[in-house]
Amino acid sequence: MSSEAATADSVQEPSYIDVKSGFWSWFVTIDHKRIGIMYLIAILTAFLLGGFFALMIRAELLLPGSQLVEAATFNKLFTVHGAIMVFLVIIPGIPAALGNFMVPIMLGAPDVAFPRLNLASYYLYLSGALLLILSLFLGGVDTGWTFYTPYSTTTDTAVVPAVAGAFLLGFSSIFTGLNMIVTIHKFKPKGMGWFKMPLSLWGIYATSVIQVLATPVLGLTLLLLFVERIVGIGIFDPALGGDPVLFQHFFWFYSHPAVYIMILPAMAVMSELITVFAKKHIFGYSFIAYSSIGLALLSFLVWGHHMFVSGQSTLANMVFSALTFSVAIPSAIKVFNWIATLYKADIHLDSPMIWALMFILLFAIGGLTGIFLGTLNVDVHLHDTYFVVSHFHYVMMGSALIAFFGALHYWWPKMTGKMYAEKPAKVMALMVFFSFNLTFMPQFVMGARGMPRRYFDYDPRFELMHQLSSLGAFIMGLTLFAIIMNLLISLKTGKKAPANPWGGTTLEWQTASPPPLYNFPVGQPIPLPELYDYDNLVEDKVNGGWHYKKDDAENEA
Amino acid sequence: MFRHLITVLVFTVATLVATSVTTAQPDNSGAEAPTAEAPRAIKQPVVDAVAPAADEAAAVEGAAIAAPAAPAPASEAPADAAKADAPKGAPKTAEPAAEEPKYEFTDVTPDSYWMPAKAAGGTMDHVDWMFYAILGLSVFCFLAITVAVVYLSWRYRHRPGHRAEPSTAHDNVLEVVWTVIPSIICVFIFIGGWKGYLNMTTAPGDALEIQVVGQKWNWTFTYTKGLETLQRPELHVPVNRPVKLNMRSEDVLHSFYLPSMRVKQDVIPNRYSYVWFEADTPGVYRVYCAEYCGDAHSDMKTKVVVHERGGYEKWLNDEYEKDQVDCREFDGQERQDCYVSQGQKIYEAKGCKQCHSLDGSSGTGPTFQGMWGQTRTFTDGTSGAVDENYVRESVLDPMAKIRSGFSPVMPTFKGKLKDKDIDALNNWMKAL
Repeated sequence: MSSEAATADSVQEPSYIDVKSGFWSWFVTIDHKRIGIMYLIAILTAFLLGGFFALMIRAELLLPGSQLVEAATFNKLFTVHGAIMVFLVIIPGIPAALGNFMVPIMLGAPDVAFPRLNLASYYLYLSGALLLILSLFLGGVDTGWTFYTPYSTTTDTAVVPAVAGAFLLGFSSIFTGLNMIVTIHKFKPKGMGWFKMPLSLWGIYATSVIQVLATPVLGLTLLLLFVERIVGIGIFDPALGGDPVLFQHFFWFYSHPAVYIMILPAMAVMSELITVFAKKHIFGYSFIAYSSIGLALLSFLVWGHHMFVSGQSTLANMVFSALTFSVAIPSAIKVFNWIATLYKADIHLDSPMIWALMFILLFAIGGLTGIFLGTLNVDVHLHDTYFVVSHFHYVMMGSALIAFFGALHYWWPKMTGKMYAEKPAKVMALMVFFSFNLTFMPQFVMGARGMPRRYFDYDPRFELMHQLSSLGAFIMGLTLFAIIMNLLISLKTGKKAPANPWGGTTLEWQTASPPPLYNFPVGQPIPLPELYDYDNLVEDKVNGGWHYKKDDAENEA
Repeated sequence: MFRHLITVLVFTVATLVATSVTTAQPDNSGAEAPTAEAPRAIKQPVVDAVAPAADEAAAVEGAAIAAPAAPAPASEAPADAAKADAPKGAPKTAEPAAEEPKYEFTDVTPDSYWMPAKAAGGTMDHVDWMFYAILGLSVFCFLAITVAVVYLSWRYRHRPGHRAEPSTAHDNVLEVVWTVIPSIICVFIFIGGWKGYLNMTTAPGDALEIQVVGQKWNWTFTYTKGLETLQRPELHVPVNRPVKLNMRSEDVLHSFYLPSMRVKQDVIPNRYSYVWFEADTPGVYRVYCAEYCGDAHSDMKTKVVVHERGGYEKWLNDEYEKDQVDCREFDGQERQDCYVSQGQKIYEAKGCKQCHSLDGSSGTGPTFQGMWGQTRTFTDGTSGAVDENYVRESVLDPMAKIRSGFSPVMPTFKGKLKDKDIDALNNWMKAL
């Protein structure tokens, strides 16, 4: 019954959007697709808010001294920018919004394993987000998103609601991870073994493992912080007999793996995009799949590299530095595999592919600058400078968020049933690439020259670098806003999306755009095409989209 | 084709080694870095300051030479010498005509494009060496990746009639090669960084020790002279002698960052940490706090003055003598003038300035302007006049009375201020 793909467009079942309408049909839905869309709305809103704070920071730093805000406000700005972008945007970005939507469909399943838990984790996310926003109205938090003690236990800003928010967000993340692990384990269709799974699923699976294992430590840490602030039990605060460096160990034991919660799904989805748009089987499938799992495990062993100058012992520094270099290897393997996939391919430079190619380059910079910071004696000089700021922006924004936007452009037609305007999408993607580099390249230079991070005021000799950086940030901010608008406009004016607009071989492209309530027509067997085999896919020049050659033969017969 | 790729990888390694070797050369003399034109285009007061720097260095040198010539008045401190420049309130200063040295920032060698001017050799050269080696490697790898991505995307772009050519989906030899080569490179970089780090953290036994206290938002350096100690807000060190800083924090985390010596170390409450360095170029360099510590984090900076040979000992003697000034030895107007100048000095040197303004604006603490004699209310509901006893109590036991509207954050100055210093502060404040 492989005619499914061809006839999917004319399928009779209403899509998940049309099946019901009204506020309650969304508010209490347990449909993974609707929950995914609700995540997406919340995440994009949070992204615009976090981006706005970033632009405030960059505007303040246009000149030394106070321009726009006071030092105390500036400290709150970078705190809330970091907390929003990490906890509300990047961590849930790919796994909770896009993963929620796509994972069951890629498995040919009607929903995730625990649909109610899925909705519960959405509302935990929303409550956590609201608590974070509430802390803004209670005067803001000025601890940095890292909540380092003893500053966070002694400052009189609204630390408690912010910590409570992060605590809830942690649980949301754990529940989503749990849901994904069980879904992937139990719902794989007949004929799809572990090594016939789309690479996105490997990425989401590896991420979910980290979420389930590491996030409880964040919950624990924040709870201890809470107990210390409210009850006055000394755990981290030296004034009460605690140890502030212990907090850093706890915090990074979660937050380093969290970097991989952000980057693993990004890498996986980019692997997916590269093979689809190169119309060629991904090079070294099993190396990519294993390196996802390898990175997930190694990510638990390198937290100490955030603490090379914290007063940690020399021996611990040596061990963590050595382990940190081991992370470089799986990352490098992925880059080489992506490049090898392009060899002798048939590369369609559609907008998602533009994002994917940008991702390779930006991730390369993010990864290579990590080598500087993993090297012990060089890190001593670069630690806590703009070099670090730039490095993690290349990884978190340049890689994870760029991948999120690439994936969003890739799956948008499937999620909404609409094609966005392709030309502006391509041009704006390139603008993001240039403005991103304009923003963060100068930060490497000033960081190496000794500009410390989280500085409200700075030496005039860094002025030019800061101004270049701010200019880039403004262009990037406007462009990203326009990109989101371009997507939203397509909801009104976009052309109807075909079932398989990019020629993908994974299951989500074998059903209608947007999919029906149970993802595939009820009562019909689900076709399972050969993964990443593009030989039989042909482009439909008239109606757009791709379908399998066999279908033509069958239709004619 | 895969054989070709292997060749390319081998070539990569070869070039890498070459780059490392070549990039290692320029950083021995930071000024001649390959991209040295770039910083010139940028407005840098540091570079402008080179000329005054030379003067300053000369001044320090001059002072060093002058020192042995005039030790006698300094130690004897005769009363008639005091009368000679009584208005200055500094009767025991050896050079009455000399202004207080203004330690302007200098960098004898200008910043290179990437790294700040370096004022320490030895283990710190190794930091720069590693930095440029990794930079060379990274630039090479990034260019290789970019060329590959751009070339392949263009060469195999979709066009009418173009199809993907069948090619293998994995190749064990290739994949093992591109796993092993980066691993080997990483091992070398790790070992380089680790060895450098061990040297950086192992202070020589004969290092000059200086105690450092970080607190919101200033640094205090305690120097030892015989059995006496001396506290200053700036770091003064001799050239070509290892210096070890024993550091602790009074409140939250701070981080002592001295870019020109390539050292950084967090400063922690309830625990000592240390850094050491050996400056090889006299001058004045920047010290930052690199660990976020609150509102005035970016103001928590000071300078390190690297003295010429002999200059450090001279500076220590002079400053020590200044600390011995006791205004109570004078009478009348002279005593008053002495109080005013000493009070101002203590205000600036001991860190009062960071929180208490003199212009009426509220900082972390109340302003000193017009404070004397006023009645103030405290957080416990009581009130009292600002007088000698109140100031004395606030200095020695700051938590005893907290002004309404302010946080209880002031550290105690017990042991840091002597009675005569509190006297001077009291009398100086009266006049504000």
